[in-house]
Amino acid sequence: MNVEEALKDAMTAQVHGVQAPPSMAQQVRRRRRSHMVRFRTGTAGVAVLTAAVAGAVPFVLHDGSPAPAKVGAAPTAAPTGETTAIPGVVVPNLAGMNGKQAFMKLRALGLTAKIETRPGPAESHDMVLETTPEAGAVVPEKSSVTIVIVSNAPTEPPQTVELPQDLGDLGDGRTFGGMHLGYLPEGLSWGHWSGKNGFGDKSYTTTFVVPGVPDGEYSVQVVVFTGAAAANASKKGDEVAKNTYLASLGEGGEVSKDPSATRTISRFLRPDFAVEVMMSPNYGGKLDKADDELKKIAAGITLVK
Amino acid sequence: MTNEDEAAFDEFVGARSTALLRTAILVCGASTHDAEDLVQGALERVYRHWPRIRHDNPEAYARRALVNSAITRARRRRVIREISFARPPEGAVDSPDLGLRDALLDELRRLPPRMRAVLVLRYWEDLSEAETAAVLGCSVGTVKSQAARGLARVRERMKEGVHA
Repeated sequence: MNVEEALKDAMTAQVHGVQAPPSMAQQVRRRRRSHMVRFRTGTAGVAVLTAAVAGAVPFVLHDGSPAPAKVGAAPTAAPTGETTAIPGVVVPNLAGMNGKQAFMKLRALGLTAKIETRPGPAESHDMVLETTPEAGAVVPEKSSVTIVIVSNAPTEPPQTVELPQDLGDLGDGRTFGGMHLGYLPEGLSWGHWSGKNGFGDKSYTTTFVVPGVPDGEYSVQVVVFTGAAAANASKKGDEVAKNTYLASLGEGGEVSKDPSATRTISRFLRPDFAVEVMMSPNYGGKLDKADDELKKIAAGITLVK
Repeated sequence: MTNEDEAAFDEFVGARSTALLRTAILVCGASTHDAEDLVQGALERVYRHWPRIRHDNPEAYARRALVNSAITRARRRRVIREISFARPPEGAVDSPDLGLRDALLDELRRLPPRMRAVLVLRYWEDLSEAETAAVLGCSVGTVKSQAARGLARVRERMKEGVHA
């Protein structure tokens, strides 16, 4: 078996049992809607969807604004003395439909649909629970109808990445591997993990994060190279201060012009003791003067006994 | 979006989402949960332009969106990944039980994301060099060199696996 075949065989075996969930298309639509909402109103959470559709609308008698009610409940009687003929649409009975069917039905009637979700039992997931106004009510054309659908999206456990804790509890994380970081940009806190010898013998590393970044991501990573490992520290790029080098490094540690490359500064405090500080492109992109921050971090490093 | 568009989108997703999900898992070396998120993101972009692209190879569009976001995501985790991969697995020093397949997949995961994507598209999806280049938005020459370097690394590992 040649290597291409062996690789194909291994890849096939790895994903053999993987199946996309049947609800994928629905999830995509829901996601699209929620993005539209966030885009438009800046609020996340309840998915509200607006469909602007013009259509032929019948003239019906309107008797005032109806109150919310369970789907399928008898339409409110209309015992009013003063009815006026205004263009209106009868809210259809959406009981038993799923969210998409209900949405399509309303859209077909020229109504604007607002979808809200409410937690409920798994067996009625995505089913319409109630509408406001209720079924049978008459609403002005193009008005909005709120559909409440049951949501039983399984709550996925948050993705956790097992990270090594080789150096134990580092407190604020600023002192490890024989050095101390005198300066860090504001808003960073210790990433609660540390590794030993991942970058050669002996090397130490940890990260600092802006609160809220997902597990496994970093904002700033610091690697201390000592002894033989110091040969692994980068001397690439410009010497921006004495024994201090700043470069954009790509995936293989090569100097790269790619905007997604990682800005990396390394400072040799001794020939056999170097500290490399990397700034994630995500984080660096949010700073005004990312390079200045890296230089300040490098300048603030001191050796500790 | 007409009802017919919607129905065609359902059909497209039903037919292609498993293949896309598998590609996502291989390219970003992610969990199924992460990969599903990536696939949904790519399909959302397809959905947004669906009436326009549905007759014009939507699968290629989806794959391009997916692979590129998978590469981006894998890159973001690069540094931490390198560290965890550089460490020998706990308690298992050159375990002879580690089958050849696992060794190959392990090596695949260690490759830079773009190189890994080239191997997945070329040898798992059986795309041609030109098609792979189109998905990744790079030159055919880059695909050739990335594939050659990636295979060389995997081959090295395979030899070790055979000797173990």
